[in-house]
Amino acid sequence: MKFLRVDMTAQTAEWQDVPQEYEKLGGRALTSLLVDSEVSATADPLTGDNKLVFAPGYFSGTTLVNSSRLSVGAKSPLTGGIKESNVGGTVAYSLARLGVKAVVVEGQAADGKYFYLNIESDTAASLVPCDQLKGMRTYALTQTLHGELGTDKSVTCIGPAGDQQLLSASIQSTDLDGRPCRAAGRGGLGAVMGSKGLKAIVVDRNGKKPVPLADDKRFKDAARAYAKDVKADEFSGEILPELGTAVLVEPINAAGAFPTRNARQGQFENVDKISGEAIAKVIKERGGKNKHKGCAQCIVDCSNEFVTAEGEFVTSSLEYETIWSMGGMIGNDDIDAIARLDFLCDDIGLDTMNTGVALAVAFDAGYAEFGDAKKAISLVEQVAEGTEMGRLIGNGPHAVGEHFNHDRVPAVKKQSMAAYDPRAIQGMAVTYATTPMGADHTAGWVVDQNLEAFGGTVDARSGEGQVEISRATQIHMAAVDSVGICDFAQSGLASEEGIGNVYTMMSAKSGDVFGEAEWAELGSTVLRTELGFNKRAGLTEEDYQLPEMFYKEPLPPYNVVVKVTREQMNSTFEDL
Amino acid sequence: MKVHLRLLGTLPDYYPGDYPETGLDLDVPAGITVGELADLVQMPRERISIVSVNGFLAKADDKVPENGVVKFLQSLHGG
Repeated sequence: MKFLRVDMTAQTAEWQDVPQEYEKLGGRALTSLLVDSEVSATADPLTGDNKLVFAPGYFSGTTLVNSSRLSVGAKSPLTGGIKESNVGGTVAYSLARLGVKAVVVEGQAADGKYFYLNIESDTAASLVPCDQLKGMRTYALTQTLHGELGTDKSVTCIGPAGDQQLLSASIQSTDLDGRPCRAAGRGGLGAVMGSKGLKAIVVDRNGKKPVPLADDKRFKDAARAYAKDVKADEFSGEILPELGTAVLVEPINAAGAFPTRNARQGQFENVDKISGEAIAKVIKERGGKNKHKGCAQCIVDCSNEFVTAEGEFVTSSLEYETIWSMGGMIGNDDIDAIARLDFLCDDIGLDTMNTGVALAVAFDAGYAEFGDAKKAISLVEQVAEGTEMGRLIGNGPHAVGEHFNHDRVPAVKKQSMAAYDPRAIQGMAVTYATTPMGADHTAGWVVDQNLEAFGGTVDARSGEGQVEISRATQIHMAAVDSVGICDFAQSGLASEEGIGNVYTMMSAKSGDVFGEAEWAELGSTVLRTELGFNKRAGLTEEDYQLPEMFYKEPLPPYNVVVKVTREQMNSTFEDL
Repeated sequence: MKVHLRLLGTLPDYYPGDYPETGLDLDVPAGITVGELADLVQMPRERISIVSVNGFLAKADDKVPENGVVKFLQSLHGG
């Protein structure tokens, strides 16, 4: 496999043998170690000194199901630290089957010039001038590029938010239907792409190169067993296909952990209108699609297609985090408005979470009434237009809070929290505060340990045991993000036998002995690297803490505050 | 006493009988626990991960109050 080194300053794209130290890495491990090695921690993220790295997971392109995950890494202009944000769709699988281990984009195009990168094989890649595409929204852009180059191309791109280098700008990527509806949403990496003058990466989907495996049969046997477990599991095999990730709305609301009206309440009184069950019913009645396949190699089919009452396409896929950020968080129970806001974020190239929370902070500061969906849509449209208020929303909740001198900003390192209030699920308090990524739920999702088995294996509203759970999960997830397994196929590794299949695949691909210790070391190495980068970038212990609102404001209905102390937060990774 | 039970996610598929979309209105013995309610409607306990009673989380041994609204929810994975 090869590295593709793209120099935007010199406008060159050159192939390179994979350096030895990266040969057995993929996904987040590769992006974070490479950024740590090649980018100065004090670099300005929106200059040519930053590098933007795209790396398929270590298992991407193999026969393993649900492994088309692409990690995107850089120094984040939002958090000021290192960032990895990953995305599904088709791009990771396509790159891996062309024999591309990573694409490293460096430098900066002069004078605001714009290019797209066209990767046709592992010997043919070129930068194509495209000033005319600057400012174009992602759906129109994708249609244009598919029209020019053919529809058998995966497109990974930015929209107007990335063009304006706004801090909530996402990188969008096409799904199996060719729609740019999959997002590497977090950390403002779309702004980094825009700053380089790179509008899109186009990848041919016809690659047939086998991903190198040390022991082909052993890998395939373990991959087959893994897939069987994913299918057999109730959540990934039955619930997600029928109801999608929106199935989380009801249980998280029941737990009082569904942040509502800028996290003033933990339950949304109109949750019945926006639950997974309600959405699946609407989709079915209108002739949309539940059980939709969004990503290459997927056997879960958690995606959906939401349509209007007349059956016209609105968005794909309407997911839990967006239903929260554009629903309960802004007091909005209009599912059609939520779907429209989801589409707009994909089309403009925005992180739905950072954008929804930015709206919530603005509403909380008195700019509009909670529940005003028309105002929310207008404000998100303004991001594309580049108005003063639009730019503010597009720069996220921290920027909005500063503008209105409003201190109720539920964010860490300027990145918004996700759809789990840390007061009602205290393990998420630890994850939000201590991950190197900013308030990121995927970095250490400990909801199941807090809530399941008729009330959880730990007390969700107590700080007891939460540091240990979050730490272990964050180490595990750093490894999961590196191999490129989708979060929703983690049912395949939930059991001892299941994780054993992952160790076997690691061993069969790398040729090395691989077990529990090596898995933990992989995750720990990634986290140590990221934490070290952040320290050199100037982040201090203060940057690894939750905002005061979570310690001072009891959250209804359980009227609880975060009980994990600052000292406990600081202890999370002290002996990593 | 009367209770209202809603089965969420794909749990209605496991209810032995026709499950009305609006949920089940049931006459149950006073003092029934959440776990006993699951047994009463023949819902395998291992399929239930989260229970709320009148909007608050409940455990298997918690009693269901008269006219209580009970929701049975399923296992979670993800992120």
